[in-house]
Amino acid sequence: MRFPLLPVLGVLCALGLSALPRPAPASGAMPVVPVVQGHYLVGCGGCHGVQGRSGRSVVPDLAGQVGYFLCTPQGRDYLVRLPNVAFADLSSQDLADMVNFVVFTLGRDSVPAGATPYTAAEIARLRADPLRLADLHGYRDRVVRGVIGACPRARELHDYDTAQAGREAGRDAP
Amino acid sequence: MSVSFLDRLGETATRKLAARSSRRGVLGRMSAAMALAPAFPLLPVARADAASAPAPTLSDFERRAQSRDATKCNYWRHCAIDGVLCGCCGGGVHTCPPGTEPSPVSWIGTCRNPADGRSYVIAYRDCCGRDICATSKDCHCNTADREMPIYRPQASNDIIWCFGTASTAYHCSTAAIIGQAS
Repeated sequence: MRFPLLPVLGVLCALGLSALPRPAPASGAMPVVPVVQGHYLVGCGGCHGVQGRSGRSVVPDLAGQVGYFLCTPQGRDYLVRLPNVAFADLSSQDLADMVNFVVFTLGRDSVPAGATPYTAAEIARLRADPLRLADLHGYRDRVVRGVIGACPRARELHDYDTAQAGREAGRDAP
Repeated sequence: MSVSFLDRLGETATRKLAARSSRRGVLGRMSAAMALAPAFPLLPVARADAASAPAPTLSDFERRAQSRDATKCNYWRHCAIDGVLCGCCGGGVHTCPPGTEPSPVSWIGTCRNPADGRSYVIAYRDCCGRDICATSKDCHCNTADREMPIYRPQASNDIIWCFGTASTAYHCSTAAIIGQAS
């Protein structure tokens, strides 16, 4: 029995948070997926894309974008307090390794200069205070506005918020 | 009283043994053997045996999996698929049939290939844009290795992943290899 995805995505796809090996052909040498990348693929890569690209409008892209969130303390905290991140079935050290992979490897040039990696202690503190909001999209929108204020080149982050607002307006229309 | 042949043989053998060996030497060798005996399990043969460790427990699916026919539910990559196999619908194990497009998102599983005993990361991607593929019931699969309930949607295959596509109509499912699990 299967269900349409969009109703389920209220929680999942709002997440601001898929490695680098591309889908491999059926034969020949297979790239070995490192453990940290495997954690990303199994926990996040389905929606956010194997390469961190998901089409942006339905699920936020990570590749070349997620690092912008480190432009503000609120944005940095937001990435870990997202429910699917905070409740990940990983130790805080493994989660720190995975989030650092997402931010610094997939995020590439979007990471602001001087940004430091997450530590296991920081992850443990943040995941103990997960976001408990009905309007997660609204909260993300406010976080993104703050991020863009600090890093103007992050304005493409708003593509997702704009698309999401459009979907909600369409759903609410009579 | 006559001495039997066996008695003479035993006496001769015992005297020769006594002439060639010392009691101290025998005791020394026996002591050395006893002292060294506990060391033998640590030698490479024993360590190699320990390193081979217990074999990983295989799931029911993994015990029955095969690597020859990708149009069967028990093909190894299908350890966690829920849907119609695109290979039965004009597509392939990792290609969509004509007239459909792959969903940009998928769910991710890990399956063991019985041909080499290794595990691989698999992306289950739906093909969308036409009504559900009408084909043999043998191509309708529902397996669940390492699947999680729908409250962990990223690990649930009970979801139709047709979103971000022009049409949300579900047609069939593919199973592409992302890489070898470490």
